[in-house]
Amino acid sequence: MNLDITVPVEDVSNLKVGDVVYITGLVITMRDQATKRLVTYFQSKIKPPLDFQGIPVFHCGPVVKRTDKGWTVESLGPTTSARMEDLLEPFLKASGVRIIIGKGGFSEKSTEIFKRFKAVYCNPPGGASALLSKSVRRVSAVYWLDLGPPEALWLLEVYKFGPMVVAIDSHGVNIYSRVRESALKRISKIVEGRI
Amino acid sequence: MKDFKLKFQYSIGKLDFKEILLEVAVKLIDKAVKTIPEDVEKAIVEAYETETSEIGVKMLEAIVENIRIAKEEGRLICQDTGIPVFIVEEGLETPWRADYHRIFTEAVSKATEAIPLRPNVVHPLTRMNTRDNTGFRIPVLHVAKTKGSDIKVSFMPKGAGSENVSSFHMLTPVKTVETIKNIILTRVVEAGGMPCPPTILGVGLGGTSEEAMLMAKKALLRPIGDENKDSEIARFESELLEAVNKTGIGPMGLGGRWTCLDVKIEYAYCHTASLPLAINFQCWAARRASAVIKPNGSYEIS
Repeated sequence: MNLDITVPVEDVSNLKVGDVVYITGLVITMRDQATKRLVTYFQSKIKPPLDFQGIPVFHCGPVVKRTDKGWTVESLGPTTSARMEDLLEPFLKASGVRIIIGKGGFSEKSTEIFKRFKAVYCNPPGGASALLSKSVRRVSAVYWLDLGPPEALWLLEVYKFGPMVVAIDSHGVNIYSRVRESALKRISKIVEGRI
Repeated sequence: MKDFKLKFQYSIGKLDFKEILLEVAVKLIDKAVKTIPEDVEKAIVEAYETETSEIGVKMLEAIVENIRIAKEEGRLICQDTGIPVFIVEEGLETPWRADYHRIFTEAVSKATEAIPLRPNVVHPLTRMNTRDNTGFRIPVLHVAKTKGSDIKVSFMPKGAGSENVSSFHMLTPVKTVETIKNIILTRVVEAGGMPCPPTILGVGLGGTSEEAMLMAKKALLRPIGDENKDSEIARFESELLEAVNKTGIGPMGLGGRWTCLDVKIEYAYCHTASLPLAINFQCWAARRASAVIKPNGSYEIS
């Protein structure tokens, strides 16, 4: 099913694995270093620079340019989410985020975390930054530039950002682990020439 | 020693090799980050037309569209403009000589600001970003002497998604072809969507640990469809490709027929007691560009 989503998003229970979604509104980019710092903030009860409630988090390090009029996004696309897997639970718990965007997904152990926090994971095509960057309308704000531009938090206004496939839903379905488990079972048969 | 004459030159007449090389390097970077080599584009379109999974088709359709937009609008193919890797094959008969690392460093720094590229290069421990994609021992540079009088410079911006799942395996010599196949398939399945499939696999077989990794990386410079000159190795390449595409990992690891566009093997003889195996993944955005510089200073980019 093709769906348009408008931010803020509070309830994603209608989204099912295999749905194709497009997002309009705000998204915040975040990757390794910012995720690590945020979780430390949450644990130390330090207030983060913005309220994440209802805003999709995009695992991404954009290419940005500073112009006379401020920052522009030249290029952006998903990064590998697996690097942030260890921090997924504390992050979802403290942030109130319902949509995570990235590539490669999470392993089976995280399926239950998405279910528990009623969140979903969406996968846009990796590497398709020329296509995806066309839907960025403007940079609303940037935080933590001290981490370097790719690792900073970029609050972006997007219009029909996608296509993204819902790959882990809030009902306990995870495409990646399903595909991986079936592939693992096939390996010996493939090697032995039985398929 | 009295009769020794310096045959290599930094400049001949009005030609300054440093300037030529700098110009070549900047052009290679610009081309590589904005266009996909023709052979790769052809393979992706073929994958799109023959993919069987609905989600796979959706992903490949967006990727084909992305390649078109990047080409038409001069945009980056992928936001991860990678870590810069230069591979130089220097003809023994070339009159030119240059400090490759210094010139490529300047080219990377210039291109980072002009294009712009994402500043990806950091200190390994402090994670301090240098902001211009250069740093100690970066760009990565491999120089090898070869026959002839040309200098071939290849540039490969290597994204972390694919580089991070690359691996090295020191096998015992009694291991069979089946074991090698099993290891490669297992790595592909474990990697899942992380290296942005459909990927290209570079395999280094034999040699020593470092030689195997280098062969796996250099294998990725070969165009899709190009077979290894050794017929037995060529047969293994196509066998592996077929096997990898039977795993069902599919585009972006979301399931489907196309997990891999091609497998390239480079091999070297090895110690009787060892069997090194290296795997270097390349994402579908298999960016690479090469230039051949002639003795007269003219060059051609491909």
